[in-house]
Amino acid sequence: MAIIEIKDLSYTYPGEQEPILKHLTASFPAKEWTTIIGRNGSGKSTLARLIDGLLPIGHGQIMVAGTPVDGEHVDLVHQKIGFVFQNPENQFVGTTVEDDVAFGLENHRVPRDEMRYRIQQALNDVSMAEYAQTEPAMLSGGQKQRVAIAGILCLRPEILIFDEATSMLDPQARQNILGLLRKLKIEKGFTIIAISHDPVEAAAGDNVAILNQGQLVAFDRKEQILANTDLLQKYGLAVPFTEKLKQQLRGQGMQVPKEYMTEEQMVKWLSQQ
Amino acid sequence: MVEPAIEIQQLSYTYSPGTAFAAQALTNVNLTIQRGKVTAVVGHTGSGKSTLMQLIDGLLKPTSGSITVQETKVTPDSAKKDFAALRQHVGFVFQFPESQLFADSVLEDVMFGPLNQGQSEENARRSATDALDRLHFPVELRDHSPFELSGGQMRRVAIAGVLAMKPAILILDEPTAGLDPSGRLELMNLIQKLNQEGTTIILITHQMEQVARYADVVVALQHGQLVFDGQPRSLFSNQQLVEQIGLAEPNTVAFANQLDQAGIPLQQTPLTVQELANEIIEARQKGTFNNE
Amino acid sequence: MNNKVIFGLYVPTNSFIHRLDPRMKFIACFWYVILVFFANNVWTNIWLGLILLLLIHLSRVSLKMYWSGIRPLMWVIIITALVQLFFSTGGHVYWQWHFLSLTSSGIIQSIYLVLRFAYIITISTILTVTTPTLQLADAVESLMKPLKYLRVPVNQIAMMLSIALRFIPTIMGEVTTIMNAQRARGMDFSTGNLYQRTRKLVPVMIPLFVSSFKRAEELAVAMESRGYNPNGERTKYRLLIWRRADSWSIVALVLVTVVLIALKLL
Repeated sequence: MAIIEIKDLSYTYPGEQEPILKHLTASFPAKEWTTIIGRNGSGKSTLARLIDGLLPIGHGQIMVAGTPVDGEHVDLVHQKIGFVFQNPENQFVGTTVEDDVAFGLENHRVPRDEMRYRIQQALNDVSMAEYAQTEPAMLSGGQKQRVAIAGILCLRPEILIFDEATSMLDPQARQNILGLLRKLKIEKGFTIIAISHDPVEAAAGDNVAILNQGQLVAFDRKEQILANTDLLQKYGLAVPFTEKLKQQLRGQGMQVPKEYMTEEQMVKWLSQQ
Repeated sequence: MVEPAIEIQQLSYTYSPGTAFAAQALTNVNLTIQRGKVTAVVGHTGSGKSTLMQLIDGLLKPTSGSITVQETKVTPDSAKKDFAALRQHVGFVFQFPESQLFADSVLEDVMFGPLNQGQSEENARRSATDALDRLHFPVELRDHSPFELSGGQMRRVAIAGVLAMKPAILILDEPTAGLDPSGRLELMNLIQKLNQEGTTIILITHQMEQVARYADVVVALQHGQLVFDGQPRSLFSNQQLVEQIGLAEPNTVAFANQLDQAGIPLQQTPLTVQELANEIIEARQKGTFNNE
Repeated sequence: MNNKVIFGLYVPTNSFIHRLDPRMKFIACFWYVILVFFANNVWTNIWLGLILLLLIHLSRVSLKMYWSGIRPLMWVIIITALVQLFFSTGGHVYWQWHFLSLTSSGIIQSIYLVLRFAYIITISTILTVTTPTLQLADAVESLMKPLKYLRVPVNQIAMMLSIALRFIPTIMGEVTTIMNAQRARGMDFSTGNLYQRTRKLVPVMIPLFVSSFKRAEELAVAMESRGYNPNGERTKYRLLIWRRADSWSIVALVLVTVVLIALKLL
């Protein structure tokens, strides 16, 4: 079942000639993790912002969990979608961690007594409870992103959108956040839409969509897309590590299976050769 | 023969010494950076990497110890002009360097450094054009405002701005952060080319794949102390040390370790996918597979 | 970690004064400043000085901190006092040269002036060392509430204030980074005359503006995505609690004022 339906969506930034999105039609399945990949400037972030009603729709239609995204319903859409942005610094509104988490709750007029409980719970979910009183200047990028996630978790959204949310983090912090997302998806049944360049991040999800010059050029299970190195290279995207290795082994005359394999699966397969 | 580009002796640095906020950032670092090589500097956030680089570029004054670059030696007692002299030899490309662009046109921005060095207008223009050429920056964009460019192009203008000062040593702090995979590859190839043309490169990075692939030497810092100085292969073959410093393994090394645990030991630690594939084929021919 | 900027002068000693409601402290500080202008004789000045010493003692913050509050303004105080000293007339004339004169009333006036400066700076310092900036902002917001009836957008002003506080350390860190980056490009900020030095700020200010605008835009979008509506009602997480000690402090303030008026009429 699709939770987000996009029909014939086009968008041109004010003052630009060329549209950034061109007649895009897509639907995103509920309770699944879909990664949108594409080169810089392919329109990924624009698409994510349009879905959350953060830009006015130029042409076409978007439905989020049965609600049309338009000026009239934008508040409802913001409630259904939690959005985490790329730069950890520029989405930290509060003067301390708990104030930042409270920000969304205050906007949605949640009573104060309930706020305390929800903040505590959200900070526990992202393992940041001990930093409740800390100021943002004392936190690392990864910790700030955790706080950003807590800030949207406490609003109880159905859909989480991550717009290159791990791209400014170091590799360990990135792995940490991806692990947290996997846990949240399983425990709370979120629909996740992640925008990324990173094949490791794409491999963490269920589906992969490729965006190129404002158009959707592929949308499939990750196993199909990540194993299709020709497709990835054609659109200037990174090839997953296991596929690179398979390519090399094939070049040396070894018979390797065509299907996508995770590192673990590949080790297992090699040990059975 | 190892020719030193930078000699660092007994170097220590303390932030805000003598106050309640005093913090020891570097302790007793001894290090030689070799001329003409690519040296990767790795370590956790807060390990002292940035402090060390700022000291090498003469932006900070050592608390104790010395730094020697060619004929210039700086110590805690050195005069301001010695630190400026250090900066003549060392170019420092900061993280997200595009955020320091300010001039009306690309060319003017790149000329800023050479003009500060005291070059004539004409020479500065020549240095700037030369630097932009070396980074393959399109000629038709050079009169444009730097703020009209794409992220990857701005990054190259910023690097050219440092390169135009003709430093013998170039420090790059996470030069590929925020670029897409093809942009990253393109930039790393350009950096490799600069190195082949004779520039000593110091690369600060969290990407261990970059260390494995591009570095001749890797230097690791932890809590302000030097904990490793040697070849990438010897660092990454020491799994315990890598873990202790808190580094990620390059994916080829991580994969080799998984193979090892599954009963397929490889001859040497692979640094590239090609090496990994060769090792696997070799192990297979030797019959280490299926050794039941 | 070198970009941590310590903002404000807050010294967390958790004294009696620290625990008072920031609104009360704000009002009291303001009221004290008014009283300072009413003090015009020896006794009233001694009385206000004693109150100040008591507050300093209660705050459990070292005198050094208070001195560091006055020191940067030392020159302003001295010059103003000198002007007062040599340009006032009245009382016994000790010395005269053209329009400059040293008179008994000039001496007394300039002593009062120095005291006024010192009192006002110190009472403000007591407020800032005992109250975190965030609480100060909350106090200002709360005290501005009546202005809503005059159609002043109090909520928006409060949000602006709180975001400004939040981003000051970020922007200070950014200034350091940009200056370092330009120094690495051969810029020398410490030489040249005033005009040259001002011109040298261009390569710092332009990148700073560019990035601040970008930040502001990203922040605005992030706030919108979390449901912020500048005209909408919001609930509040942070509460200010008025305790009995605050009411007693107001009573004490009234007493201080009564004594002052009595001393003035003496």
